[in-house]
Amino acid sequence: MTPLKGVTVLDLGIITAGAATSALLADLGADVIKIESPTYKDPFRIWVSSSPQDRDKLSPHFGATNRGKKALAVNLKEPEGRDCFLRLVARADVVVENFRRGVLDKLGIGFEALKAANPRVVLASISSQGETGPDAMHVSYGSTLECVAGMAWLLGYDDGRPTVSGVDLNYPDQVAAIFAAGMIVSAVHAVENGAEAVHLDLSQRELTSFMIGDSFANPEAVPARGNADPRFALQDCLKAADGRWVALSVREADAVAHPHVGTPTAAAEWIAARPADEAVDALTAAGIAAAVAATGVEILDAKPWSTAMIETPDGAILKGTPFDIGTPHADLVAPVFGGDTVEVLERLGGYSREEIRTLIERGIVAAPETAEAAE
Amino acid sequence: MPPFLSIDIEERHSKDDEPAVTEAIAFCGRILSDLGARVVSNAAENTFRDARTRLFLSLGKAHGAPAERPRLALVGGASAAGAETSVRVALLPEGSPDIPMSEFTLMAATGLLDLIGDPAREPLRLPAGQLARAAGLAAFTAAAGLIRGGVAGSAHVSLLDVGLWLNWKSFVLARETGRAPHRLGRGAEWQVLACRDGFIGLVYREQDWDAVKALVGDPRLDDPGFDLRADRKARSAEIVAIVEERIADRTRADIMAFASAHRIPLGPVLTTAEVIDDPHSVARGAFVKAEGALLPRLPVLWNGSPLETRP
Repeated sequence: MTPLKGVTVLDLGIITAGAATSALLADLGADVIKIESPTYKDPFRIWVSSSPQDRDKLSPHFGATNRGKKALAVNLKEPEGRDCFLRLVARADVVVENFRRGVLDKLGIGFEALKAANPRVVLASISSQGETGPDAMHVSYGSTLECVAGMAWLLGYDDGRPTVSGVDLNYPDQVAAIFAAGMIVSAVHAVENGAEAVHLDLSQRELTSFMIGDSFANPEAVPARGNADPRFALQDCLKAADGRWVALSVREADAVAHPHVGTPTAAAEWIAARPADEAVDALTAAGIAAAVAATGVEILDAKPWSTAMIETPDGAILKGTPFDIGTPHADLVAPVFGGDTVEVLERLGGYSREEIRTLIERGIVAAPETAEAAE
Repeated sequence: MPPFLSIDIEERHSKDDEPAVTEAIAFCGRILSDLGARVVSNAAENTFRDARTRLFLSLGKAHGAPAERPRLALVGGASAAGAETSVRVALLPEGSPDIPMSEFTLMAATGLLDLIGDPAREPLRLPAGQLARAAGLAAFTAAAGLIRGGVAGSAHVSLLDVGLWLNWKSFVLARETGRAPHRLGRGAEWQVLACRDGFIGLVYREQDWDAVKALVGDPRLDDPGFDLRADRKARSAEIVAIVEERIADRTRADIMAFASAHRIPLGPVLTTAEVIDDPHSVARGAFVKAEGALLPRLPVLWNGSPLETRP
């Protein structure tokens, strides 16, 4: 199934939230063209490393998040570059962006300009805090949003302080991409059924609150931190004899039938007396949900995924999809900077080779040879 | 006009579905309902973890007999596969062995638990229902694709795959470096610190270090041993202790005024009650009245307007 076959997406998305949104659209069958500028590349192309010697290393994060896209380099700060982009917009269906608020208008490619170029365009603006409001311009990362959206208030030890998912997970960035992709598909459907152009104002802060929406029904309640769940007699992580942690969820009936996990104390003693794998095997054999709290390295070794991740023939690890629609994943290769400039301008923009050569000579667009010079 | 107006969707729960599967399906159905679909659910009163969750996940839906030929069915893995166009949600991918699992143990199996908490204490889950709701988002996106594509067939969502997808950076890093991120507690680069009237999220980028030092105003942070990010990461606990000592007498508003002026991505930790009343939430109409409560609306403005949540 390729639900988005025939849909063209111009992807101004950078780093995680924007770029990952468009990657999902590519996996749904859309033709996704990543737009960068000769003066500003996706920062994710640079290896996010804490060591200075890794600064020039090609980023595996970029490869994992941008596979299956084409790439065009155009300088949107130049009037001719803006005209070139708007000419592509006229022939495209969707524009995705997660720039700082105000940048799109400053470049002359805000929603009104896009709509003038294409009255049926869908613009998805994925931002930290939305297009409007007093905090719209406040710079934020995923964990900033956990703080202001109420999620950090609910996360932590039951005897401790609030906490955040942190730089290694940055949870709001991940879920934003899934929701944004779904909203874009919904807007494309609406436009195809007669709606006018759509501007989606997608606030990651609001999504983060929506993900814990029920907690606002009783906002003064003491936050239920920790690992417990009222649907289980016992749910927690307990330390095994080998120092690893065993996660378990014990239903009421199982707590009665299996006294060795019938109380937190009994379960802690029983698990502490044996290695984690042995404890998990015994518990699952008894029908009790249990698993070792696995590390990323252990998971990479086991590769338990179906569609979530992809291992390429040369061993690289790429993001797959959080759903299986029976569509083969889009190409596994991420585009080089400006790698498809000529092809996209010719096919989608209707430019002649001569016009493209002139644009390259004037520095308005960049193709691989000129892109190398821009490194 | 909502995009899925008049599209009939059946939300079909089975008593044999795991609670997390039920929650994922209901979350997906809630979003589709807000987008105009007529969602009929057979969820029983006692299906959800508590009354608050039931209220939030049931808004806008009808209960009872589904439309004769719904455009799409949202079903759990415990239900028999039908011929209809459907999104099927399960704990594990299709064809997996039948291993007892819960949302929590799947967070363990996908490495999510290993990322949060203190290394000397038990790993921590994300707030209740997050893996299920992330799976609900994935089901929503798949459902939107099936509706737009006008295609028949099934899409599948497993909580295992969703958890692994959320944790993708761990596996990319593990492949590149042989090491994966691990929970660091007070040694983490980003974390929550106490201040005079609550807590503040210390979140900053490499280029923000000088501004963070200016905010804190402590000469100990001028130590050249903090100049490189790698060194700062290794000594995060020292940095955190200094910052927390220096902000103990400052309010969240005071700290955020400095952060905003210097473009540091700090965030005040707001309680759920404070989030509702926060000027930014109010300005954007982020919360709407529903059944006597104020609940977050669908987190999108469509041409500047919210999509209305039906009662």
